Amino acid sequence: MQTDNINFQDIWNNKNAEIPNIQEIKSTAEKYRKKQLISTILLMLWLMATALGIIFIWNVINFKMVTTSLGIILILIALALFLCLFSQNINMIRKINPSISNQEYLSSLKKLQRQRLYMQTKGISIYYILLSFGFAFYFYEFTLYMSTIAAFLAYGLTFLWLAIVWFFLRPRQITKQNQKISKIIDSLETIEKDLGESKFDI
Amino acid sequence: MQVLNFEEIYHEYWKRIFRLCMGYVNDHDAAKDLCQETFVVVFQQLPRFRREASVGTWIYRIATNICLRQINIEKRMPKSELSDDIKDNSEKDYKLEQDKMTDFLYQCISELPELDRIVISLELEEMKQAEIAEVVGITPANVRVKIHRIKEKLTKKFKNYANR
Repeated sequence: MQTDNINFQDIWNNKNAEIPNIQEIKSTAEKYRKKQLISTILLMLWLMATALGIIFIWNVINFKMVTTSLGIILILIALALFLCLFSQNINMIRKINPSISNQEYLSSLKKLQRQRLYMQTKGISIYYILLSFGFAFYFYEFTLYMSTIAAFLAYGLTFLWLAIVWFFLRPRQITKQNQKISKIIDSLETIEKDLGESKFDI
Repeated sequence: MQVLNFEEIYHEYWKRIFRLCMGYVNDHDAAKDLCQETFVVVFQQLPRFRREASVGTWIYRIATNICLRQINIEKRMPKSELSDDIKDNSEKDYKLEQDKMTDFLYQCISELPELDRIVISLELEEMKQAEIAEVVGITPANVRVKIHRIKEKLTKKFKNYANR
């Protein structure tokens, strides 16, 4: 092989591939658009259902005590929050405008990942707190009609479960998210470092 | 102002973008997927393209950013190794020497750091250094230094490859 003066250009241009049908692009774009629309509609519907549920429970069902209604409402809010956190993981990346420079794009990606990290770790804790308070309020009215032992059992078991979730499940979920997202941020930082590197040794 | 036609852009740029993606991932199917993603975005955004940059710069920015965001979507893609018939010259001779060198070049490029892959691919696509700087977001001087270093690295690799 001749290596004294390699013409990389020619070697590079030698790579060939068939151009796929343009129709594929158009149908994929349409598929994305529909998927995006459907997921937005579903999220809106779920949030509206939550809101209606809250109004319904507050005004129509006649619990004797406010705490019961408040309990259900807190549980509903927790579920809505969970859904928001879940949907946050999907398609957020596509929302960043990709026609900016690599440098700007990398820093937007990093910002997005930092936001995600915050939401995923703090959000999970807020979800469990809301759920715990929801259950605590919800059970109150019912336990008034129970014997002391039954009431103790109802609260005891529920909170035992919540304690397990809070002390074992939650830290694991958080660690998992943390590791996953931190790894991405690290890779992004490595690339970013490369952006400025050669300035210093011209 | 001349109206931009998606079909024209598609046919003019598809092969170039494919080579760029191929240099980034060195995997034919993955490169095709990245290429498709790029043109989906181009198709969606074309009506809103305001010509603040040239069409080429705009498309290359989209393509390179889509390559870069792979980091977020999944773990780094596995690189395809050189297959045996490339490593062993005597075994199968139906593949031309030129093809082997091309495969080797794409493999070498895909092993570079992410931004270097982008810079050298754009250079090999005969883009002006000032435009490369615009795509990547670094100074033209910086681009020049990078290209010089990458070419040096590649030449060394090619020499080792030839001397085996």
